[in-house]
Amino acid sequence: MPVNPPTARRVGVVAGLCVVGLGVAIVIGLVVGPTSIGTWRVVGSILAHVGLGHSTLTPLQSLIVWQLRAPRMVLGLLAGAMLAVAGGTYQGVFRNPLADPYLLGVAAGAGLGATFAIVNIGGGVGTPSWTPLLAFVGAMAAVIVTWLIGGRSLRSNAATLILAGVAVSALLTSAQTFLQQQSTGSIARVYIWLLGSLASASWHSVWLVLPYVCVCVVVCVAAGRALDVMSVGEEESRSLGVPVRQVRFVVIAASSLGTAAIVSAVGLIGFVGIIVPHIVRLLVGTSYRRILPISVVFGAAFLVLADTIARTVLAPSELPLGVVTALVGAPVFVLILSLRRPVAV
Amino acid sequence: MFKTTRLTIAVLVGALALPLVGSTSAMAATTPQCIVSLSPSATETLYAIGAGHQVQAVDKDANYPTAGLPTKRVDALNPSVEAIIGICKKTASHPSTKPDLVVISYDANSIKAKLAAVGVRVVEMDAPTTTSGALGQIVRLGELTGHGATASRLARSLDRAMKSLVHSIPAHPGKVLTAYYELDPTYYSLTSRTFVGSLLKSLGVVNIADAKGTLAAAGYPQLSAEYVVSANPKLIFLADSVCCHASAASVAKRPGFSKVAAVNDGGVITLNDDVASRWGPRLVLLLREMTFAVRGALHNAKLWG
Repeated sequence: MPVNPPTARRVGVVAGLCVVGLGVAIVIGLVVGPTSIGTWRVVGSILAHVGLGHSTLTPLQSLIVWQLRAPRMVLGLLAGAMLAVAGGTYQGVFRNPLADPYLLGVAAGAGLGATFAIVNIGGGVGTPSWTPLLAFVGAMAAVIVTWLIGGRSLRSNAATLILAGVAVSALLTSAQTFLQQQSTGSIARVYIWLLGSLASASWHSVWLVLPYVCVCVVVCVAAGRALDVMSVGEEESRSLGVPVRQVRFVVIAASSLGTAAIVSAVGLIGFVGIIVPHIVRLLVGTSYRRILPISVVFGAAFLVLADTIARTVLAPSELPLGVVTALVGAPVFVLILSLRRPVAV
Repeated sequence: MFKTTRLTIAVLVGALALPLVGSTSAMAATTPQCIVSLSPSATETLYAIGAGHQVQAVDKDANYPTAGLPTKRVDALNPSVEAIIGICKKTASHPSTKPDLVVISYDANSIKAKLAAVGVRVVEMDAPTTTSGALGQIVRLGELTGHGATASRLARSLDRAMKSLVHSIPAHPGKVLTAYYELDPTYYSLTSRTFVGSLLKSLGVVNIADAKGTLAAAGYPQLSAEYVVSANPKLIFLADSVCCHASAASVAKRPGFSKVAAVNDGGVITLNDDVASRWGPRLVLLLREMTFAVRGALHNAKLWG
């Protein structure tokens, strides 16, 4: 039985709910935490920041809200938005439902770079250190090598590029494992980085990734129309006048650059890039012109809420963020999947 | 007559001496001449009790004592049976390449059973949870290596020194000395249920990681920065100064930490990562650092003004 495409009204309702959800997530991200600060006092402080009324927070409470919770929330927004839109574009450009932002070696490259920094130079996620820089360099180097192997040739197609990504990822992961084994004292810190966390977020890290994420998100969302055309197949797209290779290059470059910037700041956060675009697709249909912008909003709200759970459910202990994204995301995804089928990419 | 008497005496003396000879031979046979230590803590102890000359290979993380460690290294997390049983130098008194004793702190790759199957004695000395457990391991290593008396003396000396340090803390009724112990810049800490946590507790310190809701069973919760700042600890112990370059200056730069009492009042103490994570003879150095910090904080008028 054919599935009726969602009406414009339905898409509008979903988009509106996502925007409202994002607003709620932002407020929750600022209000909820291990330290009990009255909800209305935090809301009052938020309003005071936009020129309405005045804040009644004590200096310590103000510091907790604006120096600890706020940058963490904003970094969560940026990470969720970037990973979700990158996952969506990867799924579109490769026409593969299993594609995620780490497909072409970003995770493996970043992991190798971060491990090298942790083992040989020292420094953790939260300290001014070489770890973010080398993670970024490793991620970009991995994607560039993958592209040179599998995407440069005129005859190359999406499958060739995916296979190149698999090979590069395997090689870099084995190198990372070897490096890690050489320094057993660093293993715990490497694993902490690999699990991903927003625990060390600061305004400094927000400003570092903000330009990359803004530019890359805009490029990815703008590629929605071309990805819609490419969903009919590469040959057909070319015959319709879409420069497939160029579009693929631009989309992969933007997605990878943004993902690399996020990974360098927060480590590897799994599941967001694959699950959010699928959830959005199930809600608004298969057009990337709808999927990508709504994924940006949905992904941002999703990660902020997941991080709020991570830092509060066992407060004052924290849960690894990647654990929460999978624990929350998987059941939600299965539920939506069971309600609406089949899935098309 | 005299000949018979001399013969009888000789037989008697010989008979009396025989058990002593047998005992000496048995001791020589059981005293290990080639030891492989896959535990940095055990390695430190072996050298401290005078068994260093028997150690022929250590794990990759061993770095103390700073001089005299063997050049042969074994990966303790991924040990190879074949490498270990061929690691000892053959000598007239030790004609085999197999070690007489392997000390481990973690049974990686089921190395214990595999080495036992080829006739190598393996002793596992896991991280202790109490001071007496740590000192007991020192005594045990002495017994296993033929240095029992030295090891016992060392253990007694450490015990006395540690008790003396604990007793040097003045009674401080009404003063709640809170502390945050950092294992990693991402705020991994430890509770009083861990060995190091129990040392802090013995000094009368209130560990902020002991709060209700921490993963007390695991003992090593990851706290949130917000919680650490709001708990406002008077002391911060940094056990990540070597690995991660944590220092009083770097902590002060973290968001929100400028308001923390320990940062403002000189209560940030950097510990050597290795000393803080090993349970060998340098344990007393860790306790001494902590004790000095606690005494200093109790006498710091700015903290209690």
